[in-house]
Amino acid sequence: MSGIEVRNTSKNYGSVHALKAVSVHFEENKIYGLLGRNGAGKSTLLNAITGRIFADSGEVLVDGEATLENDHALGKIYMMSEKNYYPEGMKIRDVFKWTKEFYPDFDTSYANKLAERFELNTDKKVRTLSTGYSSIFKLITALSTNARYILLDEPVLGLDANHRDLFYRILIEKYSENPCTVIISTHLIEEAAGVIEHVVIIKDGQVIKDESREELMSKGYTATGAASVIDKFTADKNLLGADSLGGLKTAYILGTLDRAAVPDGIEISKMDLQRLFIQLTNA
Amino acid sequence: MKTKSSIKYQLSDMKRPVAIFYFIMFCILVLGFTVFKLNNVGVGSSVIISSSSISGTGFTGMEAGSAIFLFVCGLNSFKEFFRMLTQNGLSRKTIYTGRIITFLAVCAGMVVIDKIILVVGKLITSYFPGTHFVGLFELIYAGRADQAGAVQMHIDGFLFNFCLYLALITIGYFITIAFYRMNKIAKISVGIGVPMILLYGVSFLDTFLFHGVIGNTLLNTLSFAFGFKNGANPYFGMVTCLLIFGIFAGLSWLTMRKAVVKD
Repeated sequence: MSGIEVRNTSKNYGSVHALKAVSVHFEENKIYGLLGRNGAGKSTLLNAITGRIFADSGEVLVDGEATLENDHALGKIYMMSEKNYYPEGMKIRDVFKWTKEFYPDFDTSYANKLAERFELNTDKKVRTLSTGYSSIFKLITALSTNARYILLDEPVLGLDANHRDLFYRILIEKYSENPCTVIISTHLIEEAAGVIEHVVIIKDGQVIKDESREELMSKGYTATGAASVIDKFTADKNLLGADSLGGLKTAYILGTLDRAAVPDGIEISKMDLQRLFIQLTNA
Repeated sequence: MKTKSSIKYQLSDMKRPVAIFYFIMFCILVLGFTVFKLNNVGVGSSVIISSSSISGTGFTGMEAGSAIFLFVCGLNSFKEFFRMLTQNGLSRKTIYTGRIITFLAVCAGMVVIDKIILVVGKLITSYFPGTHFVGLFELIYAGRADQAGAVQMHIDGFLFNFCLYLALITIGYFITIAFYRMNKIAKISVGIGVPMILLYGVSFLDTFLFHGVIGNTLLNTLSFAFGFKNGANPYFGMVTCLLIFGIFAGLSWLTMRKAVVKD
């Protein structure tokens, strides 16, 4: 089977169950959003996929090959971590040089072009970079590897709004020209929602949603109106949650909307991904 | 393919410290020979760069510096490389294989350089009567030096130094991996506890409880292991160093095979 397949993977840290028998399949040439609250198990899952940590049970396959101590399988994946694992004294251009050594498809001229677009000085050493530029150099490296599977753990950490916007545009450009599987683990769901095709939501070490964004969004809607009207309307529905402001109430409902059954005084709108995520992970 | 890249990276990273080390060695040698010249050593002066049981003034066992340097290199050969190489999709097995091959290459390279320094040093000191330039091997196996010919001495010295360097760099490597795997409390306990036990605990027990038995056994073992019980036989020393290398290389693998990338 092609893609990344995580099978029944569990990981405990003492009494903390970071992953509980997680099974998920990341297909080829899709952009995934791996969403979850702090400590949900997102980074643990990504680290288990790349073999940086050992799962207590289960296995990870890349294009049908187990990744455990397998250079060939691991070579198809590039993971950009939140933390920096490059030597502090290494210059950015040397990072590019060495990445090319390990990922032969690394496109140095593309990396240099991206560095220009982000105004990153490649003569700088890793240790001298700000948090934002540290993310930028790792992003550029990740996007230039041309690896089949690119895992981005908090890719926009410390980036200003302009650079975040530039990153999303570059990601779309890159994906259009050279499709690959991208897994984005982020807290900035609203921003990333525009590029995510498939959503995997992880909560307390378990995958609670694994659906295409379209499918997921079509499963819910938002109803806004007077509190009493909303309460009556939602009484027999699968209510994810609600916000109240004064006498006005907004309810987040999971289910198919029957427009004919919507009473007057209720405004129906689509649920956005961030709102759905909050409601799904709050409970 | 990946092993080759792993070796290339790890070797490349060692070039700079090795170059700095030999630059310092070169400066020391130039300074020493300049002092010889200025003080007209060889006609009664007493400038001491290093002294030993070998009489006179000169340079003695400079390869000991290389051995210590390589031990320190071993101590600095894990964390940064492990992070960088796992970041680049290498398995632990490939990182480890690359590291051991790098050690073999670096030790061989440094033995060759040290041998060249020794030969050139001997040549230069021959211009300063009364001075000497004695290698570590000649110093340790002085008896052997008297029996074997010059060529045999160089071959034995080359092999012995290579084995010694390899043993020390691998001990350093194992120590650093072991510390990487330990938690904070274990690091402090082992970091303080082991030297304390070895320095004070053992000597205390040996003096008051075993009346010198531990010390004598240790000396006898070392004497046997390095071939002094057999008329200064360096091959015992070489085998011992290779065994140390094998044991610590094995322990290093057992320790790192389950290592995880830590923040």
